[in-house]
Amino acid sequence: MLRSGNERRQKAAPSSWKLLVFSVGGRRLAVKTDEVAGVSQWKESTPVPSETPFVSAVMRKDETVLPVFDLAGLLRVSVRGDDRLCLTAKHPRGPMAICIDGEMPVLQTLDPAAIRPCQGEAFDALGSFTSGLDDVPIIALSKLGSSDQT
Amino acid sequence: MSLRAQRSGSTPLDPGLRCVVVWIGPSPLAFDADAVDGLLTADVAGNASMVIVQDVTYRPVDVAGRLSLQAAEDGPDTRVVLLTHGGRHGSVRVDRVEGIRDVERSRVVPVPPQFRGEEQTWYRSLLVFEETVALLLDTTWVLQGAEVPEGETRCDRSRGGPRVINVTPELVAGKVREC
Repeated sequence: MLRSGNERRQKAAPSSWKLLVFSVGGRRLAVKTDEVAGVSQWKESTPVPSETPFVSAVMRKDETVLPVFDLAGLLRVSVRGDDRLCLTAKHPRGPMAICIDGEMPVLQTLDPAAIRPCQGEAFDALGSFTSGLDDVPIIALSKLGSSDQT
Repeated sequence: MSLRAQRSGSTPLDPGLRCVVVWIGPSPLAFDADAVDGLLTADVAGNASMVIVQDVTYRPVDVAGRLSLQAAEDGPDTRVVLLTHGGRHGSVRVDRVEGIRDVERSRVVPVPPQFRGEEQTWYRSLLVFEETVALLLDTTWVLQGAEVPEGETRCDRSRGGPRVINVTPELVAGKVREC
C-alpha cells in the first residue's frame, strides 16, 4: 500500500538509506524502513492510564496487543484525516503502534550525503534531509520512548 | 442482580482466569473475581464513606482518582465493587459492570514493557477480548488505597466521623459464580 518516491526507479546504491516518509498532523517525517514492521489501517485503541510519557494506550492487532506511542502528542499536533493509518514500529522492547495521518506514506531512497545532522527535535533523530520546501527529520524509531524527554 | 459468566476463547478446559469487567471513564478494567465479595447499587451504597457487610468494613478506594480517570456521574449503572484480598477490604465505585468473563490463559498477556512507570504496579496483566483489551488491576495495589488513614483507628460517628452504612447481605450481589 506504499507509493515509491523514486520516479526513475534506479537501483539503490548499497549505502543508500531506504526511508518511509509520512506525516503526522501535517508535519512530514521519515523513518528507516528497516525499523518499520508495517503500515495498516488505524483501529480504535484502548486507553491505559499511565505515567510513561506518550505511552497511554494499547491496540489489538490480530492476536497481539501493541502499546501505542503518541507521536502526535509528542509533536503537539493532531493526527489528520478520517482514515488514519497505523505505523507499526520495530522497537527493542517490542513492536509499537503509532497513529499517523491518513495520507499514504512514500518510500524514498536517499543518498547519505543528503542527510544533515538534526538537533532540537523532541525525539532522537538520525538526521534530516530537504524535500521540496520541507526539512524532514528522520526519527530513530528504536529510541522512541526511551530518552528522558520521551 | 446476578452476574453471568461469559467465556472468552474456545478452550473450555483451560482453567484460565475469571474476572469481573467494569468501566471507569473510557477504560475497561477488570478485577480478579476471587477478590470480589459482591456488588452494591449506588442507591444502596449512597455516599457512605464506609460500607459494612456482615461486620466486614469496606473502606472506599478512589481508583478513578488514582488512575486519573474521569468517572461518570452516579447513575443507574453505577456500582460499588466490594473487594477482599490478603486480609484487606475495600470498595470501588465504578461507572458500570460489564459482567464476569472467563479468560483463557493465552489471552492473558503481560503489560508491554514500553509502559515503564508506576503503572507496572497498577496492572497485573492485559486481558484480550474479541474487540477490546481490559486492564486487570492488581488487587494488592487497589486495596493499598483502602488503608486506614493515619490517626484514625475506628469509626467515631458521635464526633462527625465518616458516614457508614450497614448493608444487609440480601442487598449485595454475592460471590460471583457461573450461571
